Amino acid sequence: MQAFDFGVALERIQARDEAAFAELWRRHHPMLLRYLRVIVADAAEDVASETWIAVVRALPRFVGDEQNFRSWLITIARNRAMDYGRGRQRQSVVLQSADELDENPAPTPDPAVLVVETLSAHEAVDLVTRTLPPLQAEAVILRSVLGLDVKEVARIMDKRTGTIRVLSHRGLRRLEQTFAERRAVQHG
Amino acid sequence: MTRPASGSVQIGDLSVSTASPDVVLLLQHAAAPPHDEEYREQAAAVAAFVAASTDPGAAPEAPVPDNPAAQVPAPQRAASVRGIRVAAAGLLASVVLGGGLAAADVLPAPAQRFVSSVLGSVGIPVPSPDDRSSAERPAPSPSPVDNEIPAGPEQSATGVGSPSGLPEAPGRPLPGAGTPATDDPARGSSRLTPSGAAEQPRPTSRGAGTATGGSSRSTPHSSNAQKGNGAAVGKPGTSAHPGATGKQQGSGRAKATSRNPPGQSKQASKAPAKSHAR
Repeated sequence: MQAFDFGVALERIQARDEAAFAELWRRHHPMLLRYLRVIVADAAEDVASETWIAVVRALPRFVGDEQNFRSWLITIARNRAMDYGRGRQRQSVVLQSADELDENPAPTPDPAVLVVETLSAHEAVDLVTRTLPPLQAEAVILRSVLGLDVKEVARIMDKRTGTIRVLSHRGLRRLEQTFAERRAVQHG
Repeated sequence: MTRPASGSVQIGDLSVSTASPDVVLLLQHAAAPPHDEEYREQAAAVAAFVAASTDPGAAPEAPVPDNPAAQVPAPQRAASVRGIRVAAAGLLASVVLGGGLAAADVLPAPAQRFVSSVLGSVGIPVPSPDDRSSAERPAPSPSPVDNEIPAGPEQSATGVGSPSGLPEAPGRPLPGAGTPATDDPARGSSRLTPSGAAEQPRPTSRGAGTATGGSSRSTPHSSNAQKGNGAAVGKPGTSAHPGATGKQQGSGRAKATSRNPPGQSKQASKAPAKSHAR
């Protein structure tokens, strides 16, 4: 199987090659969907569809490598998610300052139901989302699941890089704490 | 998936060295390879791509979402509200700007007339060009001598004096307006000087009769200082005034050679006093 070359694929896509687009879509859609599950939960597929439509419109003018494309894709998705959140008058996308995060923790799931080994990808993402405050969950997923670096995450979330580091660190600490509490409960 | 040992584990770009094995496992699950279920929208995405490629001008329609709440066109509504605000701000700015210009009486006559009538109907007085043509044009400050001389048609040619011949109240000059020169036939004829020509009494014009004034503040001095007949020829460059370039003949024909730039009026008002003292 031939390795994926983003530059070649982009040229083919800009020449209206459906197969190349499908290949690009298959490489990025699953992670996009997981990210959107963090910020819009049940509307992730709808927002992902709108995101790809926006991408299709703008792709003929896109210039950059695959890393740039991924950041661009996530940025579009986040904007669409925020529009969706405004439309729903819901706080699915909560923009809080880093200082407020510890004051508004998300409800902690019952540790008794946590069986990490059997989780699917979506269940794992949902667990992160339910365990962490929104911005921490978003930062952790962008960093660990999508593999974006701190600068890219900062740009996407419109935060400073230091804030992203703090969010990621606090998120991991909170996850650790949750699992530690779970083990303490299990061991009686 | 096997349970990882705690320690430094790299997940993507993130080092979770301090995280517990459960956290590492959780994140590994979250970043697991895609499942077939995640590809079920591929056909719709490719169809959108094909539609956009076939007719780039026509935006592909978004698939109708299962969730009706997702159909709320929030961005469109926001754009609409934004447009209304921009239009209202533009209208307000144009009204304020137009009103200000009209109040300053600097609009072209038709526009000034229109604004005057519109605002006058709501009780806001705005000068009309009709008023301007009949009475409002102020005349330059006359010196005692000036009042003896009827304004001639030449005066209006300067654009400074009163076309209607109405004398301006002494001491109330128009900014930058020219000063009527002495017009005593015995001393030489007078003409309104060009606007702010800022002619000064010059050392070479001793006894000469015609003077042209700078601002009306200097009028009394100018007229007194330059009594007499003969010609006063101002040499360009000899004046204290950079802008004074006029050549005035004692016969009374003062030619408008320059306009007084703003800021020269003060100079003009000081210099004649010196001349008078001499």
